[in-house]
Amino acid sequence: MKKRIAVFLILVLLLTNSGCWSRVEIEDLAVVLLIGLDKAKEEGKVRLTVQLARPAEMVGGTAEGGRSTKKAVWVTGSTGDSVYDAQQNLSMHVSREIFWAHTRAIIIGEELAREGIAPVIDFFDRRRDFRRRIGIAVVKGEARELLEAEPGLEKASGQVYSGLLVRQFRHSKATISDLRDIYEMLTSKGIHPTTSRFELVKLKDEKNTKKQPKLTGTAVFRDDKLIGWLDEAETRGFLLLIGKKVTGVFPVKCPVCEEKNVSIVLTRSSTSIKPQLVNGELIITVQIKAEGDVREQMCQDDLSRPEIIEMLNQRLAQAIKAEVIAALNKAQRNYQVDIFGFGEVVRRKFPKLWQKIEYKWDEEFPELPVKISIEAKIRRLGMILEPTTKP
Amino acid sequence: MWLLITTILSTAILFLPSIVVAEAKQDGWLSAIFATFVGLLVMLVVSTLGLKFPQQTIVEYSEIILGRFLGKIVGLVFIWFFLHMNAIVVREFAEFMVVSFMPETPLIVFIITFVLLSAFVLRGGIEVIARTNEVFFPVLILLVIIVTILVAKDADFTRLMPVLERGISPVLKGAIMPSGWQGEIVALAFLLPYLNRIHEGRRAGSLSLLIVGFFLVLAEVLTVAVFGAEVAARTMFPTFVLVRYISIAEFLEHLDPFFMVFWIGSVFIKITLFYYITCLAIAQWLNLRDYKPVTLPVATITSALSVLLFGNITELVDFIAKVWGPYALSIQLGIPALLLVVAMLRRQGKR
Repeated sequence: MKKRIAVFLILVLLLTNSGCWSRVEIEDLAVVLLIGLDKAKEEGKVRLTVQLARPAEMVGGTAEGGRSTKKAVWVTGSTGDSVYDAQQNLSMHVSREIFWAHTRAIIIGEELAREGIAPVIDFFDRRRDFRRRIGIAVVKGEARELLEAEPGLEKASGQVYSGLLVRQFRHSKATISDLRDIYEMLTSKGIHPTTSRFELVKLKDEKNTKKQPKLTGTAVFRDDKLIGWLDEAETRGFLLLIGKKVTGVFPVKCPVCEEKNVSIVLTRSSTSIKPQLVNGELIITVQIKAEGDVREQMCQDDLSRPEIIEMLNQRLAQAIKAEVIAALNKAQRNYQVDIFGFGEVVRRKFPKLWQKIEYKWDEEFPELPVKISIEAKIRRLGMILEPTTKP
Repeated sequence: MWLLITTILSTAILFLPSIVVAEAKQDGWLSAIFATFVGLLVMLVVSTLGLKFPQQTIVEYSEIILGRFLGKIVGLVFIWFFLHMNAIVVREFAEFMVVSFMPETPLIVFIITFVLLSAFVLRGGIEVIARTNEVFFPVLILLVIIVTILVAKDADFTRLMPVLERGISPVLKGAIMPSGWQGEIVALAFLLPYLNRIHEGRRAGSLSLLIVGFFLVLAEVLTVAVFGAEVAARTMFPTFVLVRYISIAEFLEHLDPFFMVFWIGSVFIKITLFYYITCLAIAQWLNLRDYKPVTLPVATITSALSVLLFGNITELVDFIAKVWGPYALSIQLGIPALLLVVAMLRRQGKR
C-alpha cells in the first residue's frame, strides 16, 4: 500500500513540475537579431530599434527574386528615456516575450555615438542575456535605416551583419570589435575605443535602387564619444599596427612596366610594439613582419627571378608603410587619440613611468615619436611562373 | 580527497575571481598561490591533531584538550561556523541562480529545494555523499579543462603584465579572501576519524589544496587574460561570463547550460557536506548517539539564516570580500592551532 502511494505521489510530482518559474515556451518568443540605437527626435530620449526574426519565413537559403510575400524579419522600435525604458515600451506593441540572446550585433547611430555610448552600453553588460561576443558598430547615419535595409543575398540583414563581420578577414578594410573589446577599451586609460563602421550604400551595379549595408572603415572614439573615422586604407594600416590578422591586396608597381600593378596578397603578418627609453625620452618602436604571395599581375613582366622579387619586397614594404603611417598620422595629428594602445604597452613595460604620465597621456600621445620598420617577404607566385599571357 | 576538492572549488571558482582581481588587479593569480599556502598550514595543524586523536573529531577532542567547559565552547564555535558558512553558501548559490538564470523566481524556492534535497541525501551517511561526488567530480574537472582550451584563443596573456604593478601589498590583501576558502579544508577535522586509512588523510588534504589552488590560479589567469583586469574586477561572476564568451566558428556557443548543470551538482555536494558536519557536530556536542534526528531542525535554521543574513547582493559580496577572510581564518587556523599547542604542551594524545 505504501509503495503505491509513493508511486502515485511521484507521478503527480512529475506531471505538475515539468517546468519552472521563469520558463517561456519557444512560440512565445520574439527573437532579436539586431539592435539599433539612435537619438530620438525628442530631446533626451533614446530610440531602440530591433530586428525580430520570423522563423517561418527564414527557411531556405537566399531571398527570392521579387516574389517575397512576407519579409523574413520584422523591424520595429520604440522610444524611451533610456535603453531599458525603450525596451519595456516595446512590449506595448510586440506580442511576444523579447528574447535577446541571439542578438548578433549592436548598431549605434552616428548622432548618438557622438554624444557618448557609455550611457547606452551599461544596459548590455548588466543584463544576463547578452554575451560579450556581440559585435558593436557605428553606422554613418541612422541605425534604424540600417536595420530596415533589405539585403540582396540573405533573408534577413541580421545574417548579413554576422556574415560581413565574419568575412572581414578577406579584405581587412574594417575593424571588428565586440562588447568585450569595448568594455576593455572604455575602462583602460591607455587606449581609446574603435569599432566597426557601417554605411548604407547604393551599389552601382544593382538594378534595384535599394541601399545595401556595407562594412567599411573604422569608427574612432575619444573615451566614449565618436570623433571621426578611418577610411579603408587607414583602417588596414591601423589593423596592421595593432597586430591583428590582416590579409587583403596590396597593389604594387610592376618592376619594368611601371604603369601597371602587381597584386600581392598578405598571408601572414605579425607586429611587435616596444616602448623604449632613449635618453630619458619615450619612443615606441613598431616592427611589422609581413609575408605575401603574388596573386595577380596586370603587366607582362617576368617576376620569377629572385632579384625581381627582392624589388617587389621593397615596394610591398613601402606600400604597407604608407598605410600604417596614414593611420598613425590620422590618430596623432587629426584626432589626437591613442587608438593603438601604446599607452597600455607602456604601462606593461614601464609601470612606474606610466603612473606618472597616465593622466596626461592624451597630450603626450600626439608628440610621441614612433619608429616604424617593416619587413616584407613575398613567398610564392601562385601556380605559374612567367605569365602565361605573354606571347 | 575528491570530496574536498569539489567542496572548496565549487563556490570558489565562481565568486572569487572578481573580488580578488578587484584588490590585486592582474596579479590575482599570485594571491591564489598565497592562499594555497595558508590552506596548507591549516591542513597541517588539523591533520596533526587528527593523528594525535584518531577516531575522534575536533568536537570530541577539544573537550579532552581544554577540559569540558572550554571544549564545549570550541565545539559550539565550530557548530556555528559550519552552520553560518552553509547558510552563506546556500545564499550565494540561490543569488547566482536568480541573477543568471531565473530572475523572477524567489530566492526561497532555490534555498528550500536545495536544503531539503541535502537533508535527504545526508541521511544516508557520509559514504553516500562521497559516492555522489564521484559522479560529479570528474565531469567538473573535465569541464574546467575544456573551457580553458576553448577560451585560450581569446586570451591575451600580456594582459597579465606588468607583474606586481603596485607592489606586493595588494597581492597579500587579495589573498586574505581566498585563504578563507582554502581554509575550508578544516572540514578535515571532522572527516579524519571516518577515513579507512587515517594517514592517507594528510596526503589527500595536501593534494586537494594543491589542485584547488591550481584551478584558482587558472581561473584568475584566464579571466584577466580574456577580459582585462579592470573589466574582470567589475564583473560579478567572471568565470560564468567567460563560459558564455566561448564561440568556436560561430557554431559552438551558448555553452553555459552545460557548465551550470555540473556546477550546481558540485555546489550541492558542498552544501550537503557542510550540512553533514553541522549535524554531526551538534550530535557529538549533545552526546547523542546518532545525528539523524538533528537534520530537520538544522534544515530549517539553515534556510532561515540564508534568507535573513543579507538584505541584498551587495551585502553578500561585501561580507565575502571584507569580513569572511579574517573571520574564517581565525576559526579555521586560530582555533586548531591553539588546540594543537595546548595538546602538545600537555603531552596529550598519541605519539
